[in-house]
Amino acid sequence: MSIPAPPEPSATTMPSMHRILVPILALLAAVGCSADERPADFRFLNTEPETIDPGRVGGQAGGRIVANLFEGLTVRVPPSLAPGPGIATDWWTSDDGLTWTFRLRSSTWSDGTPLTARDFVWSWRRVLDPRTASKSAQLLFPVRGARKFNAGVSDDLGLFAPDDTTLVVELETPTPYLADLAAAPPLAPSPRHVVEKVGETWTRPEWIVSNGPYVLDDWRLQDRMRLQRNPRYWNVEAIALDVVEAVAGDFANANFNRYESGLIDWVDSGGVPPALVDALKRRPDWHSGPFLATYFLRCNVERPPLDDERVRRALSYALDAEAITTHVTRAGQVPARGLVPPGVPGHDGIDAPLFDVERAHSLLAAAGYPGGEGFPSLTLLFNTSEWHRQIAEVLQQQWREHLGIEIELLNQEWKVFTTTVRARDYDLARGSWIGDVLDAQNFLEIFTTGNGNNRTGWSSARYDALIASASRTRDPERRAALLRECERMVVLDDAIILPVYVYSVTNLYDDTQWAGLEPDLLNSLDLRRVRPVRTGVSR
Amino acid sequence: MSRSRDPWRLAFARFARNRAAMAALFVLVAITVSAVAVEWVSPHGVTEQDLARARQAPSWEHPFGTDAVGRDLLTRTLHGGRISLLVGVVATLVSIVIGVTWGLVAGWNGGRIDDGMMRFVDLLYGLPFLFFVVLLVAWFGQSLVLLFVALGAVQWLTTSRIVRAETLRIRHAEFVLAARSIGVPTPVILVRHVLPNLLGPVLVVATLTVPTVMLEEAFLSFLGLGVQPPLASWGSLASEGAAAINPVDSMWWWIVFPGAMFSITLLALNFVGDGLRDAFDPKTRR
Amino acid sequence: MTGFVLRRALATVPLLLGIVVVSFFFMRLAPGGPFDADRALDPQVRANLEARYGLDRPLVEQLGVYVGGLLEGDLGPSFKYVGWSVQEIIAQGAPVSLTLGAGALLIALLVGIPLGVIAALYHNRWADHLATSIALVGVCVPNFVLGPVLVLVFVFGLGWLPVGGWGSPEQVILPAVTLGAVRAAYIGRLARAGMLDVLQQDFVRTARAKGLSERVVVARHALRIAIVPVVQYLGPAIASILVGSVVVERIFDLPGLGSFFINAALNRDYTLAMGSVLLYSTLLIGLNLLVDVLARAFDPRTETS
Repeated sequence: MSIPAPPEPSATTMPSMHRILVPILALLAAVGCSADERPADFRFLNTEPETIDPGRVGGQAGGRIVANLFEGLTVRVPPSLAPGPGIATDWWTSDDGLTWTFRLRSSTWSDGTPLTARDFVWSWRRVLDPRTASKSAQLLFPVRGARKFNAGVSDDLGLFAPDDTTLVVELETPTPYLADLAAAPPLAPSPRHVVEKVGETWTRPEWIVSNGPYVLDDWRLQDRMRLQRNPRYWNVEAIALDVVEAVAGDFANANFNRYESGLIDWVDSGGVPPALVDALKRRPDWHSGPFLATYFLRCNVERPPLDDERVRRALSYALDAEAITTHVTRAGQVPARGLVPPGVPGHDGIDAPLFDVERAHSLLAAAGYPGGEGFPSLTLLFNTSEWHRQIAEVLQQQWREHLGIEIELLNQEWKVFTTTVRARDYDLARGSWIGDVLDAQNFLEIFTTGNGNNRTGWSSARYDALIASASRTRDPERRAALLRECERMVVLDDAIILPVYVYSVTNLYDDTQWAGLEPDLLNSLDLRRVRPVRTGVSR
Repeated sequence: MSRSRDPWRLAFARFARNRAAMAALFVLVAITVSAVAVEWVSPHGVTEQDLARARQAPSWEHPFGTDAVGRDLLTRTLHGGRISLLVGVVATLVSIVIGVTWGLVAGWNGGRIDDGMMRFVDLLYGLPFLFFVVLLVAWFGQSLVLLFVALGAVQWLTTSRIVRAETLRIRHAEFVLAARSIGVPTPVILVRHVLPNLLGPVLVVATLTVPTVMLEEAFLSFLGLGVQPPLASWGSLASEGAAAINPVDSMWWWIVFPGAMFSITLLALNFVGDGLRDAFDPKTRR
Repeated sequence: MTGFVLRRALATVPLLLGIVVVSFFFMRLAPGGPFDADRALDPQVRANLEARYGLDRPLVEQLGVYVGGLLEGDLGPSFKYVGWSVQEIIAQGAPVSLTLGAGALLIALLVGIPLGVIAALYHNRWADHLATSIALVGVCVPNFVLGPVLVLVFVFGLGWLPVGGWGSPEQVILPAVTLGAVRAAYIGRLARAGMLDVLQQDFVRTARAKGLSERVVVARHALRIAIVPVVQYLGPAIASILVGSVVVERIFDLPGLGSFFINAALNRDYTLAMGSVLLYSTLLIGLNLLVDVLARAFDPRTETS
């Protein structure tokens, strides 16, 4: 079954008359905009997403909207975010772990069209289709034939729908985290009947059809998205909020100001100005927790003296992450004790002390630079941001103080920065990784040989073998041990990265007014759970 | 030779009598000297961080307060002035060079060349050059040299017009006609007779271009496109200040002090420019 | 008059075309592309993306496609806002910026002209000095300093106005004032100078000698002529309001064209950036023409630039 190519993306599919009408209507809309609109029940901050098409979504902003407009096979159930039933009621794997079967409940799209397993097959194929050019295609590479399909050389994919309510997934290697992956926004279903008819603009309010708790009622770019309760959602009785708005804003201070004046009910770190963190931490509306992301520095292991792992380890041991989290970031970030953030199910981490000045000294001396003498000047590269600069300046200071070496700082604009890092034209570079799924392998596999996110020039056959084994192992204990070993290699033994801190989720909201907003590891905002706190009144 | 000096002495005498302009000049010099000397004179280092003293309100020790990592804001503001003034002056020089050359060629040649060249200037007059500079700086990196050239290239139009008008006028003056008739080569005429007469108007236009360029640099830096950290300019400091305003703990000194110093400098430059204009051409009524 | 307009219009077409070509190559030469992100894209996925947007075709072909689209009013797809075309995004942002700009211009005129006229009428007395000082401050305080200070005072200090967002009339006030203040100052100076000029001219003295009341003299005769420098300044005024709106939209976080433009520049959303620049250029060129026509209509003696 092949998918016909989506309509030409070059021009809008609207007839030319509309091109004149649209600006006029927009003008009128802008003038009379909020006049007769019912105010939203709940408003939350969300950066303007790139897209809300599940077939192409890739970032957190888009993911949050998609997760509330569409529902996938499974959903991540807070607080642990373990996968629970979504559209699928239950699922099981074959003995060899290479085949998964999902049983679906009967449900419909918001326009009444029935939702079947075939929709999932079509949607996942669409994510992998080279013509869709989805940035999240990589997530589905565990599926049999996915890589070749994405390269356009084969049409064979291990996805089948033997009947309307059964979905069968065949995998290349056992993927223990598939149930969690199935809850990820890119794996949500897209309405084939709408996408094929309308083309690229199908996510607009006038066309969009979704299957989740909400539908998109209105969308003003860089301003707000208005979500309306979906009466055809299979679990509609569980939803408490009728109208919800996602408010866009790029500047932490401005967003915070709007929160303070009551224009927004919930903000994440995009609405917490770093300068105010100290004052806000003590307030009752401050809520924080760990986030599935780590902030670290990459070492370019091809550049002397960083090609000597003793030098790298020395830098790592001289890095006082606690000082940074206490004095610079101060928003609940936790010093990183490895690459993988705490809280990932099945992973214990290496839990080794990472700040040890004595050891740093002896390592540096053993490498031939006792007391920092003769150490060449290295450059620490980061992308332009006050936040990164402050951290970089403190690191510079720490290494000067503890090791007696001089590090230079260089910042580049984001796009240039990513190009430079990819070209491995740096000594030390600021980096981070946000997990896609709740599994340690997602963090560790980026340092295998040739992985596009490696960018350190480090390559170890042993590491690659360990990761490959971990992919194939079905025994969770053995797998955990293998992954722990990998983490040791990357952080302690070879120190190709210098971990700094684990990101934190920081949210501001009034918990005497709202329930169901407790922060979780992915900082998701599941509107299904959000409800106003009203004593004695039930909706 | 002495003939072309007298107008100058007259002009400067007139300027000196203009009290407002003199006061402004004094302020300007004071700020410039402070900006240059701050590194050696200030008790606080320019990059000296002290996280424990971050975000403090103005006090005796820190008259402008401290910034996010504990640096003294007065020191930082003065140091930032360096970049702002530097960009202002150098970019203005670039615009002067381009404008003078263009206007000289147009005015001297006259006729169709002049027509064509000035028509080109007219055409360019309406364009939002600054937006091109935004794209230029955003996409080709933020080196200071690029800033100098780009900002200078935005401003040359006015200069070229003024220079062209002056050149036309001088070209028809008697002593020039006389010099040409006895066969003095053109470059000599230009250097000996035309350029000295241009200096006055060019000086005026330059003094008034500097604040415009400084505003443009601040505009770019405010948007995060101009000067990059660790360098700071008044524009980037204002950006930090503006980003900090909030109801919980507004660090008003972050925007007020750098903003005030910037405004005062612009004011002084405007006064000096106006003073120069009055000094060189007292016919202009105020 | 028609000849004048036609000649000017004809001259601008090659200019705009030149802008398009220059910007186009400019963008392609810039390092980093629209698809560079922290996540490394699988090379296959990246290749797919580039094919989709036609980035793998030869440059000249891309230019041709773009210009062809322009002639139909199609400014191309945005790279950042997937599924939105540039003209749709502009259609969303333009009303915001236009409202802001119009408000700023209104304030500039409604504050500037009276300020200047009063200063001229009470020449060299305290009202004049006060007005001139205010105007001076207005000229020298940049809008990115004025804006935050106004917010400090009126939003957090006095609590009279809302902090941001867009949708209700109160939310337009502070941004419009911030944007219009500098122009108001300039217009004030021009109006004052123009008024002073006129008040000393013969026909005014004649009117006074005839015994007409001061107010009539001012309103009917002097104002009309004194306004001319202000009208001439309208072109540059609107231009600088357009440019300044970018900063003001940034300060107050408004979803206008200026914000879109800056973000497009920072995100290398080529088509949106280019579309914005084209729009601004066309607007400004058109406005300059309009203003020149108006100035001529008001006073045929004036020399247009």
